[in-house]
Amino acid sequence: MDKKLAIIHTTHVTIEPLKNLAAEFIPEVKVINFLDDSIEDGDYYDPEEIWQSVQQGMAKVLSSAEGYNLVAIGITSMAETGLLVNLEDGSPYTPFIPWFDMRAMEQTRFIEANIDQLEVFSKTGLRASYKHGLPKLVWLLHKKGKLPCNVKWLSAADYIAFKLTRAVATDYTLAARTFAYDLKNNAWNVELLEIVGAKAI
Amino acid sequence: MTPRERFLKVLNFEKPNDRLPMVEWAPWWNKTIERWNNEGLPTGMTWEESLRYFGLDPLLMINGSAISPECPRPSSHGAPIITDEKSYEEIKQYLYTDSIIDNIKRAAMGLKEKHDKGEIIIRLWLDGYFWFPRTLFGIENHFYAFYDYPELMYRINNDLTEFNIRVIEELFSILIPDMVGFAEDMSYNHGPMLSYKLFKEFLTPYYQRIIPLIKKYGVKVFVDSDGDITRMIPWLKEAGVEGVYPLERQAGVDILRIRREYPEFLMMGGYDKMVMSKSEKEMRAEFERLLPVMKSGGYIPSVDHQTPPEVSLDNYRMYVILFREYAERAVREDG
Repeated sequence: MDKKLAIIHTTHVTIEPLKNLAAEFIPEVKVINFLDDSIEDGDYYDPEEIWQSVQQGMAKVLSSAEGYNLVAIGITSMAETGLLVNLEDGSPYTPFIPWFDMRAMEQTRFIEANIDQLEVFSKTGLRASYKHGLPKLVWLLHKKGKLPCNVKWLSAADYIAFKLTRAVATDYTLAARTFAYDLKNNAWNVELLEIVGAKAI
Repeated sequence: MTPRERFLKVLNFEKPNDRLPMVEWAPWWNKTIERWNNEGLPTGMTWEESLRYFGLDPLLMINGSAISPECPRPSSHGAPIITDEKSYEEIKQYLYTDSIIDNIKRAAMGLKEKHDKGEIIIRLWLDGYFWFPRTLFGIENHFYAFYDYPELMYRINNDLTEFNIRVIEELFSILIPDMVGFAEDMSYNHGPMLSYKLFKEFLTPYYQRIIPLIKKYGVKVFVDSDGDITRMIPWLKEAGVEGVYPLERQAGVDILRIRREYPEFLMMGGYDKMVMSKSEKEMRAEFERLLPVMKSGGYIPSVDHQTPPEVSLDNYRMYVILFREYAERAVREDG
C-alpha cells in the first residue's frame, strides 16, 4: 500500500510519494518558485499557476506509482500565505499574498492600537505581525475600499484542499496563524474581526 | 590581506585594509549546484574549490557534533531517537564517542597548514543546548520534555557540555578556529520557540559554563539560529553569546535595528536570498540596505541561508560582483 503526499513548502511546491508515513521520501518530482513580483504593491503568487503545478506534479507521481493505492493526501502550508476566494464560483478573488510580504505593516499597527495585546496573546499565543492573515486581509480591505460579501480568506493549504475537494475548511493551526482565532475557545475571535470590519462566515 | 586576517579584523570591529570578507557560511543547495552545473559551472569541485572559483573567501567548517555517524537515525525528519532515561542510556554508546573526537582531530590536521597561512577561515560547529535534546527527543516531544523530563534534559545538556569542553580542548591544541557556532535553530518566523524562562533554566547555565572556556582563546562565540532571533538577543547576550547568524530577512530580521540596539553584537548573514533570483537593481538595493552595517564593523555579510535553486549561475556571478563592490566600499567609505 502506498500513500501519496502533496507538499506545499514555504516558498515552493513539491509533490512526493511516500511508501509509508514513517519511511524516507522518494526524491521530489517538482520544485518551482512561483514568486511573481511584477504586480504593483509587492510580491504575489499566482494561485492558478500553483494549482496547475500541483495537478501536474500529482499526475506525474501517480503515473510513476503504478500498483499502489492512493490512500491519503497531506497538504502542508506556506506559513501565513493566503488569498481571497470567491465562494460562488470558486475563482481566486486575489492572488496569494506571501507570508513574508511586508505590505500590511500599517494595518498591523492599526490592529495593535485597537486591541488589548495581552488579551489577544492569551487567546492566540501570538503577537501582532504583518505576516498573519488578518492584517493582510485588512490591507486588501483598505486597498479595495469594500470587499464582496461572498469572498473568504483561505491559507495556501486551504486553497489546495478547496481545489481538490470543493470544501471550504481549515485546520486549527492554520486558523491560528490568521491572528483571528481564539485557541482557548476554539472559535474565531469575533470581537477582533469586528474591529477590522471583517466577519466569520 | 589573507581571508583569515580580514575575517578576524571584522570580528574585532577593525577595518581590513582592502575589503570585507566575502564568505558563504552555508553550502549551496544540491539543487542549486545541479542547476549551475547545467549552466556551465565545472563539476567535481570541492566546497573550497567552488568558493575559490567564484572568488570568495573560503570559510570551512569543522563538525563537532556529539552524534556519531553510527547513531540510529530517526524514522523520519523530526521523529524521536529517545523517549526517556532508558532509551537515552541505550543510545549513549553512539554519542560523545572517542571516534568523533578522533575525526575532529583528523579534520583539523588536514586544514592546519592552510589555516596557519591564513588561506582559510575555520568555523567550529558545536551542538547547542536547544538543538541537541531536540534531535534526540524529536521536534514535538522535545517541547513536552521541558515539563515531563526536566531532569533528563539537564542531564543531556550536562553531558553535552562535558563533550563540548573535550572538543575544545582537543581541537584547540591543534588549531584555534576563527569562530565557534552553536547550532540551535530555536526561532521561527515569529520569534523564539521557547520562553525566556525556559531558555534561562535549560540553556543559559550550560552556555555560561562553556563560553568562558572558548573566550579564553580569544575565539568569538556565535549562535546559529534561523528565523527571527531579534527578541532573544538579550537572552543570548546574558548567556555570553557574542553574535548570531544567519539573520533571515524573510523572517523579518532587521540588522540595522539590531546594530542600533546592540552596537557590540556580532552578526553574520543578513543578505536576503530571495532577491538573488531577481535583477541587478534589486540585488544592489539589498546591498545598499546592508551597507551602513557593513561599514560599522562586527558584521560579516553573507547570504541569509543557502542560495536557493531559483538563482541562476549568471545571477550568482552578478551577486559576487556586487558583493565585491560593496565589500570594498564598506572599508573605503566612512561608517
